Amino acid sequence: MDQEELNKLYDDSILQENRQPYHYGKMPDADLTLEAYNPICGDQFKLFLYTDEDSIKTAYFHGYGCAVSKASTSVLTRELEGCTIEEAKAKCRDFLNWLSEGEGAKVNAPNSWESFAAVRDFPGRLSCAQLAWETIAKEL
Amino acid sequence: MLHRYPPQHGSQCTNLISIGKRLNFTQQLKNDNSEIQSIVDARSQFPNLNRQDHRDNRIIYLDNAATTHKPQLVIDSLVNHFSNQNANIHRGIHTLAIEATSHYEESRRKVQQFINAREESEVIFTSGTTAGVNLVAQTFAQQQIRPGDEILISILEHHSNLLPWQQLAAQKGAKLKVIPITACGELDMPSLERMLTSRVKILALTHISNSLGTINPIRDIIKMARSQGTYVLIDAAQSVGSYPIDVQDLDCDFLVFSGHKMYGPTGIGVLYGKAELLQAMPPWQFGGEMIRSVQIEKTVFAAPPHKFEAGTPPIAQAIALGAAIDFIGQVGLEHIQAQNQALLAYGTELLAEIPGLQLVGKARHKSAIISFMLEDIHPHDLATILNQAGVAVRAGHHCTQPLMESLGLPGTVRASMAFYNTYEDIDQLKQGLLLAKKIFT
Repeated sequence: MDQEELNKLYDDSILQENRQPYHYGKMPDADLTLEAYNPICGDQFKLFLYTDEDSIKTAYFHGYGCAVSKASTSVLTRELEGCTIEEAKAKCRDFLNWLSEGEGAKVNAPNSWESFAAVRDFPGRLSCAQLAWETIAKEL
Repeated sequence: MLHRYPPQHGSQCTNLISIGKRLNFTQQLKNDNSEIQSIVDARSQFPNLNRQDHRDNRIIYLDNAATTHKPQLVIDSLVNHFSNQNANIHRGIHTLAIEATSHYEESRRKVQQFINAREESEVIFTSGTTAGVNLVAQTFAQQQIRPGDEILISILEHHSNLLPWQQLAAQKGAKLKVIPITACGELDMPSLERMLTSRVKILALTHISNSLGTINPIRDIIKMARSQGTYVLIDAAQSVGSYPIDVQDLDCDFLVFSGHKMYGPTGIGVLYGKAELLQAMPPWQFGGEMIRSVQIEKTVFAAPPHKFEAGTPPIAQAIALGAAIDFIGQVGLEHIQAQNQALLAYGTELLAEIPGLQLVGKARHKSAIISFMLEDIHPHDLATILNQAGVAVRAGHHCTQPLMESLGLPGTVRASMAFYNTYEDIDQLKQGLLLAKKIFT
């Protein structure tokens, strides 16, 4: 059994984000609510955004998913704050490019993304990391 | 929000069976005319059981409820068809067509004998269980169901035995009613008795739950349905090939199953229907092979089974399904069944030793399917870790979303065994689960 690959996927940062996700809660009064849903696996998160004119002031999320999708949604939620809508969409496109293409993507990947690089070795789990980012990129 | 599986009520549920005496895998089987003299011999017929992953782990296959591996006899049958026969069937005058037709129809006879149908014409080849249910829903039921009629299913149904009825009910203004289950995952019989009135035109019920492994007492239920004048379709996808099926003894009107869950190929399945019902039913699809005579103004359809086999059927797969039945005969259904039950008992006891592991489905009568949750670890994380440990399981809702919702679960991990699995396979499953606990603690 090769535990090294597993330890990369389930590294401290992903496990920590899964255990104590950022701004995890239901916010019924949010200005914008989006749903990230993967019908194949059933992962389902709601993203709650408070906006001020064109920028996202505060973001929350709530729902159910695996450690990878929950951690990835947590990181996204944190990084959306302070972005304009266009910046948020661009950031999500960058993340998705970086995730699928690796270093060749010519994207400035922040340290917070690094843990998700391991998902590339688990093709069945790519969609877990992509889920919430795709929702913002396509539906916001 | 993740909810705990409902509390178990001791006396109604399985008490963990003692592992007891291990089955002897080398015991002699009662086969005089076969090379297969033991379970070890039978196991050696499955080349894919030796597959390794990219880390050189032998792949331990515990996803048999999704599809079983194929024995050499079945693989050879497919290769032989394309290498030596390969002709379209029926109406052929040349040697290859005559041979292919003869093998195809011989396979139908094998199925007939295997499920003890009264007549060969009661065996319709389909593409699988889903096609079988849809065929009945869109022909027989399409004619039978009137507005206000009831169609009865159970909460255990696979989507393939739910959606065709849901759609038909909506189309016809009929009511779709759902039999609930008890806390251990058995059909709630008092509810069933209450719901099974003469208003129910069709009862569509699974024999074995693909998610929980529950074996339903279909013989008794069919008898109850008979007394109400209700027609019965049995989804036997999880049972044919693992448990004896005798359609005459069951007295069901229809029974559907797939080849690929009983060591046969994908793309082939069977609809059994009582001769008198099949004769009265309209065809489902129209085209070649299913006619007696065609004029521009009208067509006279062929008699069953051909009436329901429009177009070129999956010939090689149908013939290989016959080979799968031969293989099961060589091993012996009673040995397959005993092996499955021994693996179930061993696996249930071994997994229950893991702290934080919650078995989902504890029916008294179960097939070799173990569904579970481990603490609050998501089923997909567990499946990834198990895959890394060389163990192939399925995770998710197993095409039974309403069942999962009724249990308050987003999904489960499902380990499903076939007779060729070993106790060591289950030991490895346990090791993988212990590793997952370590990673997530």
